[in-house]
Amino acid sequence: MAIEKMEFVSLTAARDCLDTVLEKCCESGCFQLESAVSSNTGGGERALQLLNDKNPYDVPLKNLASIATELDIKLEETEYSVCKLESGADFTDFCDSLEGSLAEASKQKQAALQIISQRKNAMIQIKHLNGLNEQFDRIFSCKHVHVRVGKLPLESRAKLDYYDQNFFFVPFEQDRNYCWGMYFCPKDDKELVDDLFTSLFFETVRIPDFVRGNTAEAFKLLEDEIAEEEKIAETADRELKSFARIHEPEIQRAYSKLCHKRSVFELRRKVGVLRDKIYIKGFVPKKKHKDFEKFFEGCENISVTFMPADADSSCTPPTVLKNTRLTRPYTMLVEMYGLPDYTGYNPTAFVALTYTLMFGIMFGDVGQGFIVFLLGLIIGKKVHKNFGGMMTRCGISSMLFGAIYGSVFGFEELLDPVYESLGIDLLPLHPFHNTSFILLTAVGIGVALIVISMILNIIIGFKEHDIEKAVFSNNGIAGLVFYGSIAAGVVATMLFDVEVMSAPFVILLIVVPAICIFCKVPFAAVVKYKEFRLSNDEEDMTVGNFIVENFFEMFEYLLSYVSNTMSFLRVGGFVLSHAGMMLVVSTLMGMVGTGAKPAVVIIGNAFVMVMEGMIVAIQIIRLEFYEIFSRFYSGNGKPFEPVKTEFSTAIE
Amino acid sequence: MRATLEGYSTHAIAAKIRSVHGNMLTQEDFREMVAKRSVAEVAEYLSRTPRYADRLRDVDPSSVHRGFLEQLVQAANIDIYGRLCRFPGMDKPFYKFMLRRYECAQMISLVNAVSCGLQTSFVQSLPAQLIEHSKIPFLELAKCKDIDELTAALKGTGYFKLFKSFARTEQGKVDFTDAEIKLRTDYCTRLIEDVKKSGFGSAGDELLRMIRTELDAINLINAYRLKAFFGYTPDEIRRTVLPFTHMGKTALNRYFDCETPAQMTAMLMKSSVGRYMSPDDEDIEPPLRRRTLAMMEHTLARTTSAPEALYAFMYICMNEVSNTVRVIEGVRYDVDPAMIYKLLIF
Repeated sequence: MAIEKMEFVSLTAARDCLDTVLEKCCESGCFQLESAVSSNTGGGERALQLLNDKNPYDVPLKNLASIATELDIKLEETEYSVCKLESGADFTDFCDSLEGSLAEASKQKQAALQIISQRKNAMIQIKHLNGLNEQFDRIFSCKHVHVRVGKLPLESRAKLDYYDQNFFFVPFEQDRNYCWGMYFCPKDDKELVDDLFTSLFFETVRIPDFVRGNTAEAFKLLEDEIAEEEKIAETADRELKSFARIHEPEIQRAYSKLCHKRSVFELRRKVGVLRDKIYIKGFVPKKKHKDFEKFFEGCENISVTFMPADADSSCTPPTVLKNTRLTRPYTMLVEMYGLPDYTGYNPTAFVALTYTLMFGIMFGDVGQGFIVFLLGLIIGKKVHKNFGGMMTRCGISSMLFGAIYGSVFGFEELLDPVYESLGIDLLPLHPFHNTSFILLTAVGIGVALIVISMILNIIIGFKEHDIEKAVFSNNGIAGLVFYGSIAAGVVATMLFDVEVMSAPFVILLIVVPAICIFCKVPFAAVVKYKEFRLSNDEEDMTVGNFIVENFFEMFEYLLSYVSNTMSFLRVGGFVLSHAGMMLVVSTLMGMVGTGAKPAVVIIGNAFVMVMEGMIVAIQIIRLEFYEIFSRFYSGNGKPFEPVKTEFSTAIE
Repeated sequence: MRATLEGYSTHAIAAKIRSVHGNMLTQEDFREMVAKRSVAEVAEYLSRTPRYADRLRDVDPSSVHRGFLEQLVQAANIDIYGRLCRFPGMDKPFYKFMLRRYECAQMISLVNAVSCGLQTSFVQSLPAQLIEHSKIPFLELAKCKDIDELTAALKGTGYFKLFKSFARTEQGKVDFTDAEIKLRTDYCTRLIEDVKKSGFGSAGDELLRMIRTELDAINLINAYRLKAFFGYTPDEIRRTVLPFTHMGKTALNRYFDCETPAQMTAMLMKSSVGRYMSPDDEDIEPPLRRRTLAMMEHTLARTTSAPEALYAFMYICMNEVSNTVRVIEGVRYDVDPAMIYKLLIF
């Protein structure tokens, strides 16, 4: 239950082996590629440079994807070993040959579609001129009359009466803002009338030359033309489909290989080159050392060197969580928050234990737990392995705590005879009879988890040689003593009536740790650097600023101790809420006839399981992330992403 | 009983107005609009806002003319006003204030157009809703060749006496400043009378305070302009102001008596307007408008009275339209976005 050990790998090879090396890295499935040069600062031919060649597979990939779209081929990842195409030029030639073969049919289809689109647009325009019984071409060919067709804002329509110029406007149709129509005027007055209509925001609509006859005739003609062109497009489409049927396997293979080639070529951006040598670096899990080495056995021009993970300071080793079968499903939650550093602490086991425990406490019911367990098995097999795994574990925990509460599908007395026959008086622990105990236990669990989190923080702090974090911080030794003492003092005074809050107790275990937290930066600086400073970052921090800043920080810490502890009350709250909801189900059951009782039990249980199950799951994630993780864990790790080629139909 | 029901009705209308107010453009919308590169982009943006979506639904943003877009934006205000006035109980004379306001503005414009022979421009900019809803036949009036013909055409309307009283220059032409003041004074007088007659009770007093405060701002803005750009003396200024005030004549006179516009600005800085002033302001108009807008927004937020809410809301709408028009014009003429934004009143 730690973090997988990594090895830094350095690969050096002759430049002509570049593709082979990258292909093998991809094939291995366990190599994370890092940039060979951390920053390209120049240095000419004598310095290691990153390869920045233009990807020759980009253009053919786009072309092939567009051909596939045209042929209505749904691209899928296909086995391509029989595909003989290799270079970018080969793929370009392949695309050209395909385009050449389907050019005629494609051209016909495009031309037909274009005409259909034009005719449809024209129909939209002349649709507004319904009622015009004169031939369009006759109107526009008038020798002495100037005509314009278009739309006039309704606001302007009302103003036309004002003008006494030599024109008349024929309206056809109107919508909310415009009146469609045409105006006529003598050709001699054309400019004057055009200006007038322009000032009234008249928008001219150009009637295309192919529109002939009056509106009704034009409509008919356009519809006929569209029908005719649609037939041509259909014929061309049939030709394209038969072409696609013949060539689809070939295109699928070529596209899959092209995707692979393109992805491999993209990896070159992280490869360093110096004269005729290439340099590749990255990480491999230590346990895959031999497998990775085998890939390069027998390659004379390729040298593979394995080094410790921290051999190159410019590369941060990736984190792979190593967990047992029991805790592995909870990796999902840790990854959701962020992976730990390579040298950090893997909290999966801690999360697994606390999550399962809290779920059981909050959702304790033997019957419902069993259903969650069964659902977990199904989901784990069919949908999501980790999610299913979490459900099975939580289901078992729920069953155990359900047994303690004596609850089976909401029947709270079902297990009473069992405990009576076994002679166990303490059980079952009915939530409504032990409300205070349950709430206090919830807070007790909270205190324990917070203390454990602080201890983890102290251990991590010492491991990282961070004195401030381990000793003086609010989650370090000072915080632990402060919080632990107050918690112990409150428990002793309120629950056991023991007066422990004496002056020495308060001074030594509360005041001194509080001062340590308040002055954590200067104290840590004194211990670590043997010098006094008020801030780690600001050199000119004044005493006044220091006091104000730390006063508010201290206030926040105190508030967080209280709020984080009280936050765990929800654990107890959900025990009561679960019992309460099941009580409602049993009350409803009592209200219906015998025949309807099973339905009420099933629907009631299903409702409670779905609603409360989800709420409990989310609430525990909240407790884990806010109350526990925030005390010791920072998810700054880098995920392990081995290089691989990707098949994608999304073209940039 | 009837009074109680009326009270509930007025509360409901105020609530409705507040809910419509929620659809208005935000400062963020304006920030995005000023960054647009063409009128088409602004039109497209406006057509996606709940405020203008309805008005711009059938408009093609790529081909819409700037002037027409501005007309549509202004028409959206008239639409809202019309919709709100259709509620029961909104038939008191006061609620016609927006129609009168538009009529007054068009009358001023008409006097100018007829005096200068710009009737065609007047017709082009005349809001179509006014042609439809106003009893004044603006299109017919625009056919008048001179002010005497216009005055004669107005016989039988409430404007006839007013037009007869317009002062004339030595050349016999109408004194435009005098005409404008008389028309505005007439509008304000009728507005205040309508408020008093409508029996709004304490809401009426509050409404009068709002109207008079708004007029104070207008008087101060005009006084500043006359002093700064036309060199008017305090007495000349006093003759041009609208005779209504909330701050009091003595206080107003103190501003008018300032020797320079800078003194007027300094005096205003010390007053309650001071906190609306910013170093970027070139004159006193933006802070005074900001203060009036803040007062209207405050009123709208807290009032349960329909007349107060409607008056405040329509002021806010007009300010928004004026901001939107500024943005459209700024974008059309490639003005720097920061400069356009600076000119907007929030």
